[in-house]
Amino acid sequence: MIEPRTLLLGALATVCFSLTGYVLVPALGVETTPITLENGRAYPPVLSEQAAQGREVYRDLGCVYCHSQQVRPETFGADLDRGWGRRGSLPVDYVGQQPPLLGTMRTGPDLADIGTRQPSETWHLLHLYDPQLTSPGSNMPPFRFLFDEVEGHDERALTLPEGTVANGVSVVPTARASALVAYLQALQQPPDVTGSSDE
Amino acid sequence: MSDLDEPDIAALHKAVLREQKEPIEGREPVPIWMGAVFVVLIAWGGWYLGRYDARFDTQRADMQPLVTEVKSSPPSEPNTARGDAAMVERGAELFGGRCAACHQATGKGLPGVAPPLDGSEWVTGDPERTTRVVLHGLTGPIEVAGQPWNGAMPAWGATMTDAEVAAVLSYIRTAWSNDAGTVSLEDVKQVRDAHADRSAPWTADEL
Amino acid sequence: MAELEHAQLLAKLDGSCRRPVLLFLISAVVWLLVGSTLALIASIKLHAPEFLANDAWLTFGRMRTAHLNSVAYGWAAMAAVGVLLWLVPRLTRAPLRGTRLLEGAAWAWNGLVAAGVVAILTGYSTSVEWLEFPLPIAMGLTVCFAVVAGAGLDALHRRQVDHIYVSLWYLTAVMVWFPVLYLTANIGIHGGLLSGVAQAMTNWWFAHNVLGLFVTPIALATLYYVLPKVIGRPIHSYYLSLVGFWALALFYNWAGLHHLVGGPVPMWAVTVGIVASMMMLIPVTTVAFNQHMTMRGHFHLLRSSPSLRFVVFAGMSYAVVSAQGSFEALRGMSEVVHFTQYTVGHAHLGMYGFFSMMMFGGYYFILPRLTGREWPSATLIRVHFWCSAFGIAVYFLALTAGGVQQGLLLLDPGVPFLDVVQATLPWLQARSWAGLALTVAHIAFAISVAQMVLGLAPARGTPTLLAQRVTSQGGAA
Repeated sequence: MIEPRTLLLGALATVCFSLTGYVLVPALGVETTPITLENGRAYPPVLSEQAAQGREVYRDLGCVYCHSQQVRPETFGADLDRGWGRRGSLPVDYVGQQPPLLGTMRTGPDLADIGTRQPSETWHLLHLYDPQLTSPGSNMPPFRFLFDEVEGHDERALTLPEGTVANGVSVVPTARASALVAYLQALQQPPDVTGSSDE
Repeated sequence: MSDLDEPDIAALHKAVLREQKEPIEGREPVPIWMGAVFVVLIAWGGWYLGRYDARFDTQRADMQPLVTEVKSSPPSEPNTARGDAAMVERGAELFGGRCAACHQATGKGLPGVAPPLDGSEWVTGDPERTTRVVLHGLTGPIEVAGQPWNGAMPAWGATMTDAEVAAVLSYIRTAWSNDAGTVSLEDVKQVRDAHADRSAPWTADEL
Repeated sequence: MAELEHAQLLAKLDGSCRRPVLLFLISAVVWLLVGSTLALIASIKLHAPEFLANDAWLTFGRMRTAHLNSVAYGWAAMAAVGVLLWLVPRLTRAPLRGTRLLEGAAWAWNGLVAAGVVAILTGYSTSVEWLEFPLPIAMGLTVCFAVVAGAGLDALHRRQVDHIYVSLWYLTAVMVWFPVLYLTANIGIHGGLLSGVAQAMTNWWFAHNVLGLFVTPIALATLYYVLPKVIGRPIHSYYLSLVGFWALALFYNWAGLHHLVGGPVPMWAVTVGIVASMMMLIPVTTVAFNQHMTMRGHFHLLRSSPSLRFVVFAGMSYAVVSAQGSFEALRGMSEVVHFTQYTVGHAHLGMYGFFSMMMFGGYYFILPRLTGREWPSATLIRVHFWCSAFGIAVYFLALTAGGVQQGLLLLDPGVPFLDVVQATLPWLQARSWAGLALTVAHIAFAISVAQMVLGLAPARGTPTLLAQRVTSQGGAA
């Protein structure tokens, strides 16, 4: 025979049990402040203002639902052999991130170290405008709405293959597109993050 | 809904009238075999917990050897004997992961971004020059296969080992219509050492 | 005469909760249709990226997220609350009080979910999985659920029964679990208290527990109620129920961290998550065994009773999806299938094959009692069942096979990434067809429900059955 108070207290106890282990212990135990590397720099570095805006674009468009940002360690999976990172990701890589964009799907490739793997701004802009230009056969949607079509010549215009847009029209990245690319370029997990904690 | 607050026989739902009794529980015992299976399962759980507890160190990430111990070289060093097919094969893998996004799997390059490698004199020419481009990058105007280009190739020296650079070079020099022979680990090491203090990317003029 | 008194009591109890329950259940169906539409669009976009590609609000990242939240907080949660509010008075024999407040909660709930979906489509999603609604919306939903839990616990307090039936164990626990989970996760994550890896851990502690400690218990409560009610015999074993309930309470809590296997989170936490996932075999075995032993000798009723057919399908899916989930958590399995469509297939078998099918079974049982009408068409019910069953089967098989292939290819660094993408496309196309079948099922269901609540369905007093009963046993549809 179960009494209501047994049920209520039992239910409360079981949920508090896991809440302590999975919420409180990590909240108090996982590194929450940047470390100082041997070269004196803080890690992880603070994002530039533009890159921080780009992170917001990444968040509001839902990039995280197809791209993870976590490199598996060398003993698990083939991420390092694929060139997706130079080491497995560590808790320190995510210090201060709100939210951490770890992701759970790889419909597209991992982006934890994309800034190292693909540093070219031009490439990222072309890829966002139409993924088929750089990655034929990709199922990533085009993000044409991050670009303006303007009449006449513009020095920031993308160089597109003949016939992509009408003659005399230039495709110019918006501030949102440029910010997103700045964020992608800033996504780097350097190999050596040995250092001391400030705490 | 007032008719339902004070139900009378006429307002009773016929569906309720045909209902079975409210459910109750039987008192059959838990089968012995099931209890035994649960005991074995819980014992396994204890073993797994002990095996992978990582001493409950909250700083130690899953499947990482040790939190501060970062590997110094990539796990797979290809066989670097000159002309080894395995090296070219490894080079093709590396090319697919790191170079194909710009230069494309076809080696035809990407208009406005990256020049072709297939049929490029910069690839099939002096391997020392190509090695410098891969190690330190390239910036500014350059003419490839008769076409002018102006872009930026990133430096790969910091993120790829000599063996990996040699594998990629060997691949691009022998892939598609290129037929220029492979590059060895030692060749790459020599170039790296000769330009150890180089940090800026090369320009076409310097090359 | 005792039987008549008993029927009078049940009618009184049903009457006490009628309006809020109907409001929650009808709203849930509307959200099911909205969610199905969003799902179809998102699914097609994954293999035809140019489809509806010119506006930011239609992009995959927003469509998929709007789908998840409209089905999770619109369909699933509102259906679950509706069923909970109907079951509690019956199980406590205490009429529901505070129904005006509950009706207000239902309307507010609708408004909040609508606002949340619009927020996602216009770029205000938080991009924290299962917690995409901005904090004010989440706080509003917490208040609504507090009203629901308050009404439920009030009825529990005024109970007119000595013995608390197993369904009520689960419902009582949910009224504690969900507020704790939802409040902790939202305040911790969106309130700025947690960042980095600690936030990711809280995220998956919550996201897995929404399934384990909210929708699963309500679905099991439905199973434990409808099954014996339709076939007219007791649940096989109280002791199995007891083991199943407490094992779920203890182990499901800890299972969530298997979502971060191989990730930058503490190894011990992942290990505990994996062990807890494997331990989930215990409650699942007991529920499955209890269901099977109760059903034994009564399987012929599946041919006639719509509610029983949906509920038993759901119960079987529960056994399959849970066993799959336990083994999927193991590091060796995760190395292959984590990050792939396999996980999506698994999630849908759980949320659809198990939970949604259970709710459908609940609707087919409950609505005749609240509307005084009988289901208008056996054909519509057949279309609903078979399109749902066929759709989820194709969905699951396609993404399971496709996910394993995708995972194995990803583990081979010699396969270029774009080749991996190409290999998954046929499976994703099959998924869209499966989604279409599910949408057809939902339209059939919605037509039936609309006829019931608009008074267009017959009030003849005999149940709508899918086949003639071979015995006279059991009149409940």
